[in-house]
Amino acid sequence: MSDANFSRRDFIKLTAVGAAAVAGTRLVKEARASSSSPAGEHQWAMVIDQSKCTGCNYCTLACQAHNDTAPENQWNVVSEAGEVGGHKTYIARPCMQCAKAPCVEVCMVGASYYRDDGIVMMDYDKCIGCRYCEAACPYQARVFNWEKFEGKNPAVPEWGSPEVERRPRGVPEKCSFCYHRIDRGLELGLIPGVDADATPACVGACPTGARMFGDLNDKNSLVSLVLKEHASYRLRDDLATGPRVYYLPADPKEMDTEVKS
Amino acid sequence: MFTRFKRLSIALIFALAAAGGTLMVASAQDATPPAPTPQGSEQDCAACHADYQMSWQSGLHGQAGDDPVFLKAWEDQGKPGACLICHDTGYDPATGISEAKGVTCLACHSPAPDNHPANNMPVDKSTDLCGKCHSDSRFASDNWMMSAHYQRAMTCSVCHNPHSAGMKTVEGFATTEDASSLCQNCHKDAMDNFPSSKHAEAGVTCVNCHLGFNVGSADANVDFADAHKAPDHSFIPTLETCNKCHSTQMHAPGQSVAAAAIKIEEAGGTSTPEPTPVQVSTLPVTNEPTPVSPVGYAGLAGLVGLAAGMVLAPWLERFYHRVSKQHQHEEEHHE
Repeated sequence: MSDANFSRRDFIKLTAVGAAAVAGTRLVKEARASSSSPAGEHQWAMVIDQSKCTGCNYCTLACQAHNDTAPENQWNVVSEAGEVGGHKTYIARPCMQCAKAPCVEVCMVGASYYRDDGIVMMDYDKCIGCRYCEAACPYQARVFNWEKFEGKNPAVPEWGSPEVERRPRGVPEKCSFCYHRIDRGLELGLIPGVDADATPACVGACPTGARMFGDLNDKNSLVSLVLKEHASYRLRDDLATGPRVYYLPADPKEMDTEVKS
Repeated sequence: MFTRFKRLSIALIFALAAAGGTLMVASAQDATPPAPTPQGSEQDCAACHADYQMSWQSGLHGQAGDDPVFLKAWEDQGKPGACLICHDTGYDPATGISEAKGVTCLACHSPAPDNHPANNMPVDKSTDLCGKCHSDSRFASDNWMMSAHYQRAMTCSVCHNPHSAGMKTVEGFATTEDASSLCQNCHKDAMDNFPSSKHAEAGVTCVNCHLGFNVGSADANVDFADAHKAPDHSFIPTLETCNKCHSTQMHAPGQSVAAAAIKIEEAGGTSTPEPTPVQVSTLPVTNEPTPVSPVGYAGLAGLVGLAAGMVLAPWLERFYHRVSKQHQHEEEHHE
């Protein structure tokens, strides 16, 4: 009897609804797959010159002080990267602030998100501590707070003062390109990358000027000019994550320790 | 007669009343610290920047104005105003008045914006700021200009902590106990070979050769303990540096210093003047007392109330007896 009641009209209705549902799902999937950081007014980027980096770790210490991280939870790691022309080289690794960040893609609660200027941010209130982002990141940029950082930060005050709150227990954290310095600097009319107060702490702390920061949308910013002039590479470009941290490979000619007068 | 329990109860009621009253009064007071005034003293800065204040106060900058060695030398010379240009903050030669004694926060962080902390306190991180005072030939600034560090645009604060006016250090990370380990932070190539060298075996460190005191400069007769005297910041060892240890091993007779050293040794003296590091007694750091919470006051008041209650209990007892007797009398009259 019920089969008989199932009229042609009903069948068409059902088919239409089903088709719409499938189409909708596909649309959502496409939207998610193409999701990447929105293009805002500024697009911040960092350039690290490996010819100039001496592996002194000042960037790490400045980061530890300004972002008040625990000594075992460094946001910026400097490691040895072989020898070029008889000189040791180093690679400093902050968060790459990917344009298409795996950590944002896998976050199921929207705790990791993109800012308009391309910075990959963390909402510690939304985070449920599943650590998917930590596993997804190909750069190991994220560290997990197994405990809340209590006590004295050994890098304070020698390397700077804390500018952000300490993170709670049970959330991952990572380099934020010192977004608080950028935002405050812009409010005060400063130019990130030019004025030290508006630039990430690691850039200002570098004694050899190996780190540069600026706006890729500004054709005359230091990073734009340097990237135009020099050959550069990004870590794991093959993964198509679109990192915003560019490296200038070590050049033996530039690494000569003698100063040319 | 009251039982002990009754007395204690009376005392407790007093204690509670006193504690509650104090808690109310103490909580009513505004607990927020006063807003810092930008043109204020270093005590105002310390309200928020206690870490920096402590490191500054125990360092040479913090003691520049009241260091006993300085004060004695200054008084001996008839208190010249020229000294105060660097030893005080904002010294005006025309009036002879300083804004503050010693090298205070505003000596480097000025002019202070009216709306700090909304606006940052300014600071010039280039060598020019330090050079305002440390540019004399006594501070070896001409040597510093020769150094590869200076020519590669490195600043003083790469190695020096401007607040403590000492070397940069950090606990638990790339420890820089002496200046030599600070060198090793960057000169890692050199550290591949150096530890296995004869020099390292003999206990020689980077600074022994690369940061020599200005032996033989124009004012070599100045005492090494003179606080104005800085090591050679060109970081370039000279023949004299080698001669400090190897004067007798040279093929030819040594240079002036070595020859002089041998002469002194022959005469029975010590060969080279031992540079004595400048020792400055560290002043005890006074910290602002931490404010007592209202609960602390209330606890104290509670104790006072308890004691008062115990003392007053016998009087209360007598009063109670009198009242109850009167009551009995009245009841008897009624009957």
